[in-house]
Amino acid sequence: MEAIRAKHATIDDLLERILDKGIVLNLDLVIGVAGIPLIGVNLRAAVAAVETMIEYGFMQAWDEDLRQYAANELREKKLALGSDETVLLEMFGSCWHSDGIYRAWRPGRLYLTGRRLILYRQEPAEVLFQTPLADIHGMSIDEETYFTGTRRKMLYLSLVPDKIVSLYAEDIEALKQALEERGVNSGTMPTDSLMPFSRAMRAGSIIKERTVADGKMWHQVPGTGIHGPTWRPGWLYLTVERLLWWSDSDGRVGLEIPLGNIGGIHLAARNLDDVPKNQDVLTIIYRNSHDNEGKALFSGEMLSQWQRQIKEQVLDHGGKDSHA
Amino acid sequence: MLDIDEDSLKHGVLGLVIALVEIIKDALKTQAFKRMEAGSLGEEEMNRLGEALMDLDKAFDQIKEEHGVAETVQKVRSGLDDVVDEVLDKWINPERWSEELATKNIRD
Repeated sequence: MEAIRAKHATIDDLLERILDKGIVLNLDLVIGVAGIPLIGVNLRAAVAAVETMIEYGFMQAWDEDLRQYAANELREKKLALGSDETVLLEMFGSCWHSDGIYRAWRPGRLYLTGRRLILYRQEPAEVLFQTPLADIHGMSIDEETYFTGTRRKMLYLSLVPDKIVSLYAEDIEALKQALEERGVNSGTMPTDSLMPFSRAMRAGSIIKERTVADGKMWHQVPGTGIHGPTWRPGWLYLTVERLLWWSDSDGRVGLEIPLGNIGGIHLAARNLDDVPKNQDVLTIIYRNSHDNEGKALFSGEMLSQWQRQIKEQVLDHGGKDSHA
Repeated sequence: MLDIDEDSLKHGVLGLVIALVEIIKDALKTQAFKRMEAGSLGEEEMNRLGEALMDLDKAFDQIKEEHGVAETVQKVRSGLDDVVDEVLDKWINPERWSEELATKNIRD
């Protein structure tokens, strides 16, 4: 009989097979220096899926105990509700948490009751966010565009002491509607004062002059050390004074070129070996801070319009201070 | 000169970490289905497990979208798959070793 193998084995298949069959390791190891044994390791390990373990008569009691314990724990650590409080709406959600260097979306389950809005995480049990409905002064829904092309709606709630909370929910419209039915006003927030971490806000603190155009744009960050050049998602701003590229993955300005330093703009289809393949690439030649010639590569949508607008701005700018 | 860029490091490391955790998550999911099929879990336990896994999927999608690393993660995973495929291929077909050796000798 001949061994047959599926064409492409994946790591998932490998793990599944290992867990399904189970694996037994017998390891004897001596670590030494200059031929003198110093540390001895004698290891016996068996790794397998619990289902396989039980089949061979291991861990059966343990499995039952653990599940019993979890069921009890769950009963005790259930989200504590008031005696007359009922859950009206329940869905997956997350809230933005910012505390010093720890800034992240914390996922859990959103519960709307007659009195409160709660984001609760089961494991490890913690109330991630909660507010009495009476404390919600206003709310608004805003869309954020991601680089994967998806737009995601966010719900911003303004709470009593000048606090804005941003939430993501599985069905944000249903949540908004339910909140409205509970008497929370929508659209009462000035839209430009919220979004504490949105791109517009961050860029606004850097760009004081008038912005002519902005849009999402990939930029090839030059290679450094062990890394080759890589394409990064970001946002390009053309202002009356400079060209500025905001790096999405780092949340800071990745490239800044004063308009007076721009020497040329080319648009051509290029075959690139990284993310955007065979795409139009806008090449901007400029004088960098060391007075050397630099090249900035951009790729994205509507490049010919970008090229035209940047050219116009550079000409306008050059006319004003007799540069270029 | 070794000059590791903070940005590319973050991007690459995050992609790698998420890819590895995702592989573990997928393995857990497969095992969850197996346990459900085996029929040892109660109704309530199955619901709880299913819901937790679904929430986990959504949380992962959110992280990948937010940081724009979906592509990196995909690359790392397919890269690992290729390595597994290659190693298994050599294991099962020892004649590949001599083939490879032969081509190497020709090049030398």
